Amino acid sequence: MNSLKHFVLTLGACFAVPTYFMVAAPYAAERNRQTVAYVMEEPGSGKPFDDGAFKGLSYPSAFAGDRKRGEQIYSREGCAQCHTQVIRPDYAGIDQFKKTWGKDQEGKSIVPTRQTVMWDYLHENFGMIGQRRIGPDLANAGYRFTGKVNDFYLYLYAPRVRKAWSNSPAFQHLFITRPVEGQGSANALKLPANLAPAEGLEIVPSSEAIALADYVLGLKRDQALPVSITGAKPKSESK
Amino acid sequence: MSQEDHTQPLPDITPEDILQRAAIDRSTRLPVLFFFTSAAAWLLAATLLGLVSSIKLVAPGFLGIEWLNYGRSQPAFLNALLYGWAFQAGLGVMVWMMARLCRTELKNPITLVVAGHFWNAGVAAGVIGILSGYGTAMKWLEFPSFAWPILLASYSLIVVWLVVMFGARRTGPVFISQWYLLAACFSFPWIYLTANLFLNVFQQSGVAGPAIAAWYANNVIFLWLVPVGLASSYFIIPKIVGKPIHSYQMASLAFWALVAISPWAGAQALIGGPLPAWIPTIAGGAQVLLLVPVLAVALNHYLTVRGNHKLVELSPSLRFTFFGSIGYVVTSVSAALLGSLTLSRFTSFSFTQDAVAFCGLYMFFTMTMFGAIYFIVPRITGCEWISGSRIRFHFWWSAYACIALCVLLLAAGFSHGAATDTWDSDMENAIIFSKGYLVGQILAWVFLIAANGVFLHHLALMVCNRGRKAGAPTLIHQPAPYDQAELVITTEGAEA
Repeated sequence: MNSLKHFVLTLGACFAVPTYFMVAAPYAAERNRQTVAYVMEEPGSGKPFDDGAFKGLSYPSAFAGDRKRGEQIYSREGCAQCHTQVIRPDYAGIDQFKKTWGKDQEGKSIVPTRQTVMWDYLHENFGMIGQRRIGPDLANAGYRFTGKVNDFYLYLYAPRVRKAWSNSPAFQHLFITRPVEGQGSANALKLPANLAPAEGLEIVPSSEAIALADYVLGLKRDQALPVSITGAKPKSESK
Repeated sequence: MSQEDHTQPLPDITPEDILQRAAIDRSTRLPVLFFFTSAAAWLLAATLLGLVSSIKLVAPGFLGIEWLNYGRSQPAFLNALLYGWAFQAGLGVMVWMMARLCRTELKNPITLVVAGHFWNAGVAAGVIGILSGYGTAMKWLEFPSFAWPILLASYSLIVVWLVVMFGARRTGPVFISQWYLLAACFSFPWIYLTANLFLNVFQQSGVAGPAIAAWYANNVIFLWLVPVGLASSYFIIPKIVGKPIHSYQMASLAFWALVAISPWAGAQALIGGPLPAWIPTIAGGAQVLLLVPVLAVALNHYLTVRGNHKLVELSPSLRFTFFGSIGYVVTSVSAALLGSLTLSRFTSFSFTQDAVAFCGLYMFFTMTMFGAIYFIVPRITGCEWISGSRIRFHFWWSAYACIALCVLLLAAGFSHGAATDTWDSDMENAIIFSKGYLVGQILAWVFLIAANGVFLHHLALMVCNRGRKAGAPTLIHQPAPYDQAELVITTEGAEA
């Protein structure tokens, strides 16, 4: 082969076929993916199908609150460099059984965490599977901080206050130091003496930190899937 | 590919050939030196960022500003190394080598320099964008989305002239390096445009996004770095050794195997991820199949050099290139291993991925480019490298540091991955177990900074026309007197 035209055509064929299969087709599949409704009765037989608790819902539900903005901040700050959001099946890793990576935060559960599926990332601009796992997996991080949003802010502001071995960066630029007004903010950080602000000042999360908290606390990628996705009856423990 | 008999001895060089080569070198002087110097400056900047990000892993409070948090400095380092150094060094080599192999003068050096400025501006804006908190989460595409059209346009503006040169080449057999260079001209626009269209323009990629980004990152290595690096080593090894490539057919086979297999690989980085299982499976299989061209290239290089290994000791170009060829084998073998399901539970999301990426970017590509730069710059400046001991320093410190970095990152990755893969521990074990290796990594970065500082200074002196004006080519060692007769390296230095 000595002609430029033949070379370019052969090269184009070599590139185009795998680009279709490895890039375009998976993209199209994700773009066409729809939320799946929970169905209460199996069509035809009328037997109970999905869990009654999900009546009238679809999976996944839309992002609530400031989660979309939080997702942007998560990506801009490079959180995905060190945190994954994926629970791999048992043949590929121990993720499903890892303590605190699922709903149960005590490590007593014998029920494995559900592995992540394509629907879990449906509303995301770019599925935040992540590049490294230097920090813990965050697929179900919402459970870790449910009702404890101030713990999340404290981790964000000073990661080593709770866990001295942590090598997470501190995100102090997402917080505001301001004079205390009245009784002070409910979200003001309770810091140890060496990090605490001067008398009369308080450190509160900025709107960016609040959006990020909305996002992370919303990460619960273990909800029972509609039977039409899994093809099997959901485990009875979800009742 | 041509089937000419390549076993004939090389024809003698006529005085016309020498004059023509000098004219070609003069025509490429401005853009090539521009790409090399800005690349070397980016290399130093990237290694500094690499040092910062590696310190941040063990001392997260270091320097204390959010611009340098690991989540920002790590992608800034990698993108600066890739787009700042690797692409510009590669472009310089591509321009010079294409002109030489097509035996045509470069008609429009100014266009290339202008496009090169745009490329630099795009990379600088992108790196600052990442550091100031406007980056993305897409692997090796972390530049804010305004940067990619600038990079794509300036790259196309540069390589279109290489294709034009190829079209205007003097007829005759096409050398394997030219096919590799042409493939590199087309492959980057293809993969970069594809990845950016799907991820930055169409968006809403869901779980296909990380698969596309992994596909892109893998193909930057195997469809751009590898072709450019191999074009350079297929050129430099026969030149210095003074023999043609051992088997041209094998070289041709390896080329087509590479371009046909490589675009299938990449998504194996997401083994066990929420993708249809055939995607990482096929990708991992393709990554293993890529060992076929690797074996062919390595064997070819080895058989070409065989009997002349003494030259590896003396010639700076050959020594760096030879080291880079070994790096190519190491990169491909480790990339194939990491695609296996058995290992992936420890390696998928740990520092081992960084080790392989660094191996491809540095142990293979960067070292090969150093070899090419040591070969090309004396020819286009007309003066010799100032001192062999500086080159020796540059080689040993780079070689030591990049081997150390790869080994340490692999060890850190395996210990981190294995500690994470126990059900009842939190991340404490993983972080403490890998810490020692990560501290060692900092030392290797210091070595790299020293080596690259020396290299940048040496190159700047050459560009400022302060190299040695006459005399024999600069070798790493002076050959011992008794064997000098057999070891004259005729093709090293400015004269050839």
